[in-house]
Amino acid sequence: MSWMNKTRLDKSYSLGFLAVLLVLGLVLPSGARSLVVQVMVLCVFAMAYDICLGFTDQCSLGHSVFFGAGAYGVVLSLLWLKLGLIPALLAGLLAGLLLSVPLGIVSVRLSEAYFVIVTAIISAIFHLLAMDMTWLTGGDDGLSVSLPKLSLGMVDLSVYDPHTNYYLVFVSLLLSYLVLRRILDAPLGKVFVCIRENEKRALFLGYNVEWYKLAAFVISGTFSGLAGGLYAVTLRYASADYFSFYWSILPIVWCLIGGLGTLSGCWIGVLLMCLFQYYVSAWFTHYLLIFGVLILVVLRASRRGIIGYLMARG
Amino acid sequence: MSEPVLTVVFLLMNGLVWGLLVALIALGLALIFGVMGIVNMAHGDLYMAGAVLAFFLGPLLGHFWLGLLVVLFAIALIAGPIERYVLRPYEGHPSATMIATVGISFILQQLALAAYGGIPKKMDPPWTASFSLLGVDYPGYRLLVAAISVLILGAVWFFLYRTSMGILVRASIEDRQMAEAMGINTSRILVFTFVLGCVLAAVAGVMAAPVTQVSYLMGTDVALLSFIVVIVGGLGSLAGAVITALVLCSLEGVLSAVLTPVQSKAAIFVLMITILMLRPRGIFGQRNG
Amino acid sequence: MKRLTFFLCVPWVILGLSCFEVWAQAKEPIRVGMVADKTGGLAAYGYSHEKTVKAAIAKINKEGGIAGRQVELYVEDTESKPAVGAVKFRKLVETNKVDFVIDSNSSGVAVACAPVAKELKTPYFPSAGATEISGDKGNRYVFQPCTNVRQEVKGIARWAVENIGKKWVVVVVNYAWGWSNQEEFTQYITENGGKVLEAIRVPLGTSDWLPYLKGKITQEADAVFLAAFGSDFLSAIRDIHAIRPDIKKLGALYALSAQDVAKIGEAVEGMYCITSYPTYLAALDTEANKAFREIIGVDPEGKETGTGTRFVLAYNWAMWQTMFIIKHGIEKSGWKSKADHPKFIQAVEGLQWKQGVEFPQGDGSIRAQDHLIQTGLYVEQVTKGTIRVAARIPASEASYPPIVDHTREGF
Repeated sequence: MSWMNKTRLDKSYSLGFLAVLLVLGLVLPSGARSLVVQVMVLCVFAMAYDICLGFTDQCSLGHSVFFGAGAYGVVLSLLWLKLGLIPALLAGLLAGLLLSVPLGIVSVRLSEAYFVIVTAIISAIFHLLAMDMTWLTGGDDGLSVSLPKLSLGMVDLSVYDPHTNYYLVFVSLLLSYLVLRRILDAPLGKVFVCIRENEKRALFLGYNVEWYKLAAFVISGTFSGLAGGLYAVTLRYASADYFSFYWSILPIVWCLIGGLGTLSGCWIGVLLMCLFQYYVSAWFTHYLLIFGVLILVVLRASRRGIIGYLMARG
Repeated sequence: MSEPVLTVVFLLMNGLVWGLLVALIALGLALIFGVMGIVNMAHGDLYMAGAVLAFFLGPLLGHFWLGLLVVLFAIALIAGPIERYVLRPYEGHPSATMIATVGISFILQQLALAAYGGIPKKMDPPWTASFSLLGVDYPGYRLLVAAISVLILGAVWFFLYRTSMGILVRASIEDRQMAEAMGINTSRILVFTFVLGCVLAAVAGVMAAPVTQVSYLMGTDVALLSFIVVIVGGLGSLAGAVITALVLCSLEGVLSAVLTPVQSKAAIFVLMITILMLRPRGIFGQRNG
Repeated sequence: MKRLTFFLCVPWVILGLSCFEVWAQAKEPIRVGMVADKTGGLAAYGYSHEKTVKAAIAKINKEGGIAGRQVELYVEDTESKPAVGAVKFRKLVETNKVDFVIDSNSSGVAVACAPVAKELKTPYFPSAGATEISGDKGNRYVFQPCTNVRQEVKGIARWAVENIGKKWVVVVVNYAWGWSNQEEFTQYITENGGKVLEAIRVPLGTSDWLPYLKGKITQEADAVFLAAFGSDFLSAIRDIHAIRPDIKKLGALYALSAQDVAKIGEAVEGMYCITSYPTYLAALDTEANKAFREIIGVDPEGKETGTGTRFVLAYNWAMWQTMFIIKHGIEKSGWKSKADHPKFIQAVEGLQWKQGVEFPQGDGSIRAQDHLIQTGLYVEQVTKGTIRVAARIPASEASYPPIVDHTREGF
């Protein structure tokens, strides 16, 4: 199968997935609907991470910083600035952007293994600070927030209505997907892929590799911020735990299980992991054990994850 | 000596003891990175596995030091096949290998939780003597641990610099492809290095078990600390890892006397970032890695 | 291509099936959901709480259920993480259709679940001891069926100044629970004429406390107040003893719980500890307590029967009693379904009970305004390798004016 075909397949799969989600919001019972809301929020995070790892081959262990910052961006702007819901979500996005620029400048110029560890350490610092600065973050106990109405010009909708909640998240996922897809289809995206495939060649072609890597890192961080914000909105809660290492590991696992460098392949990973956490953990406490084995099995079948495996087999 | 000076000297020493243990772990991490080029995310969990196994085996065998030997062999038996059959297929793909080690880390942690339970427990030291040291009743076992760590570090140094196998390992760190071209069986070296690295972590775990708390999550903090040590020391630089471990741990010990715990941790992190800004390849790293 | 489509459908089919599973179930029993900390940092609590609650429900069902209906338990794991806890809370209510939710020892989980409880209009009984749960982070649907930090510290403060010492050094683990212990202890000790000379915060999981303690516990200090538990406690007590063997020690709630004091030896001898439920049966030797311990499988010394390991008894009584608070609430209010929750909540507000098998910890009540349990405390002391009760603190001594008034809040 040619590359063009693959991309088309990938796109039709993504759109199919989104169409299913659109319908599901109306037909699912409340329990499964809440699960799908979680899945959609984490899909945004996974996509954002894929820009970093899947498209420019930067294996960051520090994305929990942007996730946490986005969550607190939303919660604090709701609590202190009394912003509306949409401005608050934008504040979350902005928090991700503002943090990813300096952190990117510090880390993207480092070589692979240094990059991995330095990002991990940066996220550890933020976790430590978030745990300690309880006056700001609520520390381990966190901050809960009651959400204002979602004002859409003419109508005010309450996010406590399950359908509004669902479609708010759905629209965010859709918009993030479209924006990111647009970026990747643009020349910028092609350069990302070029850097992933052969960094030295990209350099010889005259591209400022560091700048492009930084761009990918910042885009990734910004959308991670949005994901964190959405997560805080759906849980009505943020805590210092959002900065923990756990939230840096998860996106890697999603992307690798689902499929790296496909933008929407990671959705499969998110869905699987959430189903495991949601249903398997009730029967078998040590579901992470199964998940560890699953990681090894999937990696063994294909380094490009489930999507990569299926595409190779057609 | 006045009381504050006494305190500082004491903290410096105390940090040094802990630093020796961290040096063992970091040395293992640096070895694995040097030869295989991967960041072993399961390294902290191997340290944990050592401690947990010692917790079970110590009373079973009735002898702590015998337990240490058994753990050493057990970990070697586990680590060998892991490298050969689990990690080897991803050779040359650092991120895939890293994720594979994340998978291994999940498995080790959950197995430990299932077998050992969630309560952190303390283990009795095999040697209960204590010395009056700078005004504090200091447990002798810790001094013993320090001495053994020094011995192990010496043995590893001897092995790497004075035996032919060690030279092969160092050659592989220097330039894998060249070593292969020279006819060195790098497959064997890979397995061997991974096993050695894991065993070093596990041995540190066994010796740390009576000093610290044994819990299935005990590896996480240590792993982060040894990452820092390895990065600041310079990836692949073995001596760098050892020296950095000692300096960093003593420094943190002293800082914790004047600053709050979080401030002293943050200070270490800031220091580390600064060092990396100035020397992106670490203090002891070569220009070209 | 077909294969691709097939594989992509699999997760959705699983999802669909799991929804049907719930619809297919009968609607008769009263469903209780439990967000237990089965893995992660608080795994030990999750284990013992689940065991206790299962025992309580077995007892209730054997005696004919609540108002003639059987009780069914659904357990979910919080992984000791607030976000996961909130997700699981929602799952229990929405997917398993539970009527009441109990547990989680983590204040973080409780704080995260409190607004969800209100949103889903489901009464919630966490077993976490943070003061805010019965303060500004609680709401009309959240009850605190265990004692909280402010109660515990206020209860002990006067006794401590009169019987232990006036000049204190406070040593706490460096997270929310430790901090509130430090703040509340400092306040109430000062109010009672004592003085806190120094406060030391040590990170959770620290194995070596010497660097933090060295030079800070001066000769002037009479006693140390220590808020640490589990193996942190062991390290702390050993290192405090190494620095000042003669200093008197007071532990925060449950510091001695699940510890083998005979094994720790001299370092812990003479130490005091606040507790709401004594470790040894001998300290609260009532028929009810004996029966309670037999049912949950704990011997008179606090060891789990069968395994012989020290059981984490902390807050087990609170989870056990919660099941009976729910029972009495339902019986008193005539609760039939979720629509009757307001009636149920009003019935539990101000609910009083007498000591018995259902309430082994002693007489008590739920204060209507802030939904906080009102009950007495104990001061334990280690003497010759076992734990004795040195004093009892009546509920009135521990009680403080409510911070909030939920009864004015709507449903």
